[in-house]
Amino acid sequence: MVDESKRNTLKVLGAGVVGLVVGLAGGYAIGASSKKGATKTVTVTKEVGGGAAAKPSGIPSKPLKIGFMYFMSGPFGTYGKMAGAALEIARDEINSRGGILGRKVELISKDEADRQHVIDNIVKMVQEEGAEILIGIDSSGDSLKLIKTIEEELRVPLIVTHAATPKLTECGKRKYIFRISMYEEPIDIAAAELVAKMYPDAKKVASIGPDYAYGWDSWTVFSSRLKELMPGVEFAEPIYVKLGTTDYTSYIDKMIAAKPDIVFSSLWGGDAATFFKQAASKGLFKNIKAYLNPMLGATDTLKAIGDENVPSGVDIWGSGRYWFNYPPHDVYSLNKSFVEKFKAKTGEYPPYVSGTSYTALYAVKNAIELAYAELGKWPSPEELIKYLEGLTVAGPMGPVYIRPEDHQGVYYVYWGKLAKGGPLGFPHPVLTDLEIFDFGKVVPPPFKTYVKCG
Amino acid sequence: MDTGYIVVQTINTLFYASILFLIASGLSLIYGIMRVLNLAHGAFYMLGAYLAYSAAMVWIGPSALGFVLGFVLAVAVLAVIGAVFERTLLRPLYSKPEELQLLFTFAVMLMLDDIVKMVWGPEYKSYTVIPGGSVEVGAYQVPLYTVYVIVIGFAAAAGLWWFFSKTVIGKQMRAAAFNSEVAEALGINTSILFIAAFAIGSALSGLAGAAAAPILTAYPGMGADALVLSFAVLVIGGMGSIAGSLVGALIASVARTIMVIVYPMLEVALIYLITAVMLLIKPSGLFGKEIERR
Repeated sequence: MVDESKRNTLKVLGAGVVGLVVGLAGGYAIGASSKKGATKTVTVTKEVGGGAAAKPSGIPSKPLKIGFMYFMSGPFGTYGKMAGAALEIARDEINSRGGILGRKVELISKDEADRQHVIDNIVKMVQEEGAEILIGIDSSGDSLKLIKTIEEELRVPLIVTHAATPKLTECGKRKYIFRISMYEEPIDIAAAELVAKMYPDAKKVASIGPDYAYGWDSWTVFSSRLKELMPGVEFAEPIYVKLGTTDYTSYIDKMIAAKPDIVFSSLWGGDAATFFKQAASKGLFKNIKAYLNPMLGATDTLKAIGDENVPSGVDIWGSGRYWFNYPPHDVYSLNKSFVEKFKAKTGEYPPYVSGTSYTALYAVKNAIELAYAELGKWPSPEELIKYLEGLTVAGPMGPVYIRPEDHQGVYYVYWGKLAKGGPLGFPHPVLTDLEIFDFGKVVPPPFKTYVKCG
Repeated sequence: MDTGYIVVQTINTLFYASILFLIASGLSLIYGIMRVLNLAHGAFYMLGAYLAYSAAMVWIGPSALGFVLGFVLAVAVLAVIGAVFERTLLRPLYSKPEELQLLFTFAVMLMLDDIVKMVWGPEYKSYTVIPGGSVEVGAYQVPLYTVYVIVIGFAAAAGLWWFFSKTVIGKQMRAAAFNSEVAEALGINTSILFIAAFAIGSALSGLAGAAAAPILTAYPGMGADALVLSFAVLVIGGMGSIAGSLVGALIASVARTIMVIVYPMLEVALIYLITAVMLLIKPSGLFGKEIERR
C-alpha cells in the first residue's frame, strides 16, 4: 500500500541545509498490453486430488522456490512479518503432505522496505536465486512499478496479495500478474452502500486520507458512488496528509468545524490508530453519526487503538480484505484452523494480509496440480497462467474466484462495527455486526473503474 | 469561523510550537556554545520519546506516576547520554574538520535508529490514552495534556533565559561561546562547561520527546523528521539564540496551522518557503548574529 519511502529515510545531510521532503513518485509504466490472449475459462473445483503419495513422473526434482516481497522492516514491518508467517504455515502444510506434485516448497524473500531496490530485488529473486513464482507486494506504487519488469522481462507469475490500487488489474489486461486480495474499489463502493442504507438522512461527509494514489482513489470511488446513491449529500473539501503524519489535531478541529454527519478516513496502519486516538481525545466522535475506515479491519491497527479509545454513542465501521472471524469458525473449518495455527505460531489473530498470502500459495498449488492433471507435465509459466485464470481457491476468507478477464480475485466484501474486544474475549478491539456485501453487487465488472486510468 | 475554533486552533499551534521549541533550543544551544551541529540531536529526541513511553506504558503503567517518571527519566538519561557523548566521542573531533563532526553525528543518528528498532521493535509505540482528560470549548474539545505541554515549553524558555542571563554558570557559558580561549585564560573551566552545555541541550531533546510521545507516538525515524523541522526553525529564528528558537518555532507552527486550515496539501510547504526566503534575505535568522568563520 505504501507509495513512499521508509519513514525513517533520512532526508537531510549537511549543516543548516533544510531538505524539502520530496515524495517518491512511483514510476508509472502501465504497460497495458492490448494484445488479447485466448481467454479460455477454466472452471474448477476448489480442491484437487488427495495428498501426493507417489511422486508423479516428469516433475523437476529440485524444490519449488517461491519468492515473496513485503515490508519486512520499518514502521510497516508488521505487515510483512505477518504475511510471511502465513506463507510459512501454508508451506509447512503443503510440505508435510509431500509438497506440490512431490516438489517441496521453499520460500525466499526480500524486503520491500528497501525502497530503492524493489525492482532489482525482484529480478534477483528470479534470475539469481531461482524463484519460479512470486507472491506479495504491499505498496500500490511498487505493484505498478513492477508491471513492466514482470510482464516483459521476468515472465513469471506474480500473485499480489495486498497492494490495492484498481489500476493494477482494472486498467489493462496483465499476463503474468494476478491479484488474489480484494482490491480497494469494491470496499469503497460497499462503504457508500452502507452509508446510504444506514444513514439515509446524512447531509455532509468529511474525509481524511493519505496523500498518494491510494488515498485519492479511495475517496474518488467512495464519493462518486455515494453521490449516485444520495444525490443531495454534501462533501467537505477532502483532506490529504503525508503518510506518517503524527499530529492531526488541527485537521480534527477543522473537520469538527465543517459539521459533518459522516467521516470517511482511508488512513491505515499506525496512522489510522494515531488519528483515531487524537480524534477520540478531541471529541470528533461526539459530533458525528458514523466514522468509516476501509483499513480499520487490520488487527495491528486495532491493537494500537486499544479498548480504551473505542468511543460509545457513535458507529465506527471498519473493513479490510479479510476478517479473521468471518466466515464464522463454527460453519467454516478452514478459517478456524487457519486462525488457530496462526495464533499458535505468532500469538496474534491474523491480520488481513495473512489471510490473502496464505490463499495465494494454495492458488499456486491448486493451479499446478490442475495443469498436471490435464497436461501430464509440470506447467510452464504460460501454462500455469491458464490454470490460474478462472481458478477458485478456498482461503480463510472463503472461496476466491480469480476472474480470467482481469486476473482479479473476487469474494465478498464486509464492513463491521468496532467494539471493545475485552468483553468478547479478545485482546484488542474487534469488528462485530458484520455487513456482508456479495461481490456480485459491489465489484464492478472487469476493467470498469471510477478511477482514471492512464 | 467561531470563537471556539480559533481557541482550539491556537492551542494546537502553541502545542506544536512548544515541541518544536524544545527540540530546536537544545540543538541551537549546543551549536551556539560549541559550534557543533549535532545531527544526532533528533535521535536523542526519539530516545526521550521511547524512554517516556516505556516508563508510562510498560515499566510503571499508565498512571500519573508513570507519566511524571517518564518525563524525569527521559530528561535525566538524555542529560547523561549527552554528557558522555560529548566527553568521549565528540571531543576528539573538535580539532578535525567540521565535515567529520557532521558525518560522525549523522552516523550516530543512524545507529540510534537501528538500536531503537532492536530494543523496541519497528512499530509505532503509542500510549493507550492521552493523559489528563479534556475540556470542552464550544463544539470542540481540548485535551488538557496539550495545555500542560504548552506550559512546559514556555517554562523551559523562561528557565533558559534565566539561566543564561542570571546565573554564573550561564554567563560563563556565554563567555566561553564568545571566545573560549579568553574564557579559559580567565580561569573558566571550559571543558566542564562544554559537557554541561551538551547535557542541557540533550536533556531538552529528551524533554521534547517525553512531551511529544503521548500525542505524537514514538517511532523509528521520528528523529529525522524532527531534525529537518528544527533546521527550519533555526534558520528562521537564528542559530544559537534561545529567543530565536522560540520565535522560529512560533512562526513555523503558525505557518503550518494556516496551511492546514487553508490548503492542507501544502501543510509544511509554507514553513520551508519562509525558511528559503530567510536564507536569501537574512541567512543568520531573525535573532542570529553574523558568525565569522574562524
